[in-house]
Amino acid sequence: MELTLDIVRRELQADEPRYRQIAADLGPDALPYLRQIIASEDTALAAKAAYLAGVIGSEEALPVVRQAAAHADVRVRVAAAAAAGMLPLDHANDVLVALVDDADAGVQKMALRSVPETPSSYLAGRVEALRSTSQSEAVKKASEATIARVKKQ
Amino acid sequence: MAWSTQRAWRRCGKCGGFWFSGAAGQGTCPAAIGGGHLQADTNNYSLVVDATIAPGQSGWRRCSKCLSLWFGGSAQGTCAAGGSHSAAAGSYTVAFTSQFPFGEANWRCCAKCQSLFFAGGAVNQCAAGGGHNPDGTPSLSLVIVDSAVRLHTKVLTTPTGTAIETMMHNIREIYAAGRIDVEWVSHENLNLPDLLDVEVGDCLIGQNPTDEQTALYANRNNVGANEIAVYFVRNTIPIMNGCAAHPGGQPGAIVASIASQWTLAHEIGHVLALQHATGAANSDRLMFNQTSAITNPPPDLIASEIAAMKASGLTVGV
Repeated sequence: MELTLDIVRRELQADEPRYRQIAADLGPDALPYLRQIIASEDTALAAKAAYLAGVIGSEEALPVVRQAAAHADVRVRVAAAAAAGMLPLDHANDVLVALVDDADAGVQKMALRSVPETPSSYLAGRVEALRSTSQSEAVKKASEATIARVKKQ
Repeated sequence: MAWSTQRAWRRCGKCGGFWFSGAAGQGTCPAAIGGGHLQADTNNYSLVVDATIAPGQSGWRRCSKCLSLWFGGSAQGTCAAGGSHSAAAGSYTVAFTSQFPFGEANWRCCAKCQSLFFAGGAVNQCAAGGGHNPDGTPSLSLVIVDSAVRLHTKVLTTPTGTAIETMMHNIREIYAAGRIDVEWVSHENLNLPDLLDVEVGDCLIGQNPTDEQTALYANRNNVGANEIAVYFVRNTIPIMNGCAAHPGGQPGAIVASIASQWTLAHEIGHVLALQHATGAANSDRLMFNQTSAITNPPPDLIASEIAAMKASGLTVGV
């Protein structure tokens, strides 16, 4: 069956989407539709679309997650931060350099958790800086945990 | 808390009126044979009390003299115990049948005595003389219950799509089809910024909880062992409308800010052992896994689901 926007929307309407199964069923062909959904006014579906893009995780997912990372709604940016951790290494660095300095501490916390084990030097520097400069205890704790995780490698 | 519930309301077998059997005595019945009210049957009705937001007709009061429910939104009415009705504490909201299909319909306000009475019964006696007169008042619906679940709401962030009060009324309405009362026992705001976005893993009942689920569900102020805590958060990770997976011995569910108006009832259904109803043919059921696309609302519970809910140790007989 030909994939359509309606099919993708229907999958994301689930209260508890099973993302791995959806990603396996729809594949990268869903990514253009995910972009449309993120651009729409339906914030609930936009957040789910951002996360699904990360689970699909192919090379083409980067612009979709990047679009979500710039979304006006913080819930979509949290989803983008979680999705970034599932992208290929270079792509994760690309998205996370913006999100670790987001205005919302929850987005920052999620972005720090998604920092890959071999981050770019710039991203590693930002993580280190947040440990001492962040006003949020949660962000400080997340940066410490990230630094410890990265140093193990 | 936006409202609570009160049971032990009964239909009188002598006058057809509606009276409270949870107070001392039987009240005063207007039927010619005199004395107190008489419980017509075993039906135990549950009313919403002191609602700040509730669909239906507000302003109903309990008369401290005759124990009947009367509409205090206009005249004082005529009391079977003499004079006018006298309001006891508490204000009640009664749903319009048009808004609440799962209750018992055909309850009406008498234009003479202002009391609620059952217009579908054989007995009908008004304190103002003769029979009750509905005089075109709309049909109201009452919830008959034989069991109850007790919910506690704990809010980290307020949902953006549907108010918590609306979700609570929806679950009350849906569960009424199974005669399950939903008690809103407590409400608490939690200042837990670290847990606004909660990692829930695969969100499977019985799974090992994530560290964040463990931290969140540890907040059980006022929640009894077999009572259910509902946590309203900003996001779950992965992004879901809600998640009913909970640590052992701490029954509860998470509802995300993107939840639909039916998500709360759906997640509590999972807590009470219900599984998803799959396939488009089940799109009118509560456990359909796309509650934002529910057809023919309010969504339904089927008989086997009601039986499973009542078999849950979290549903108690009343």
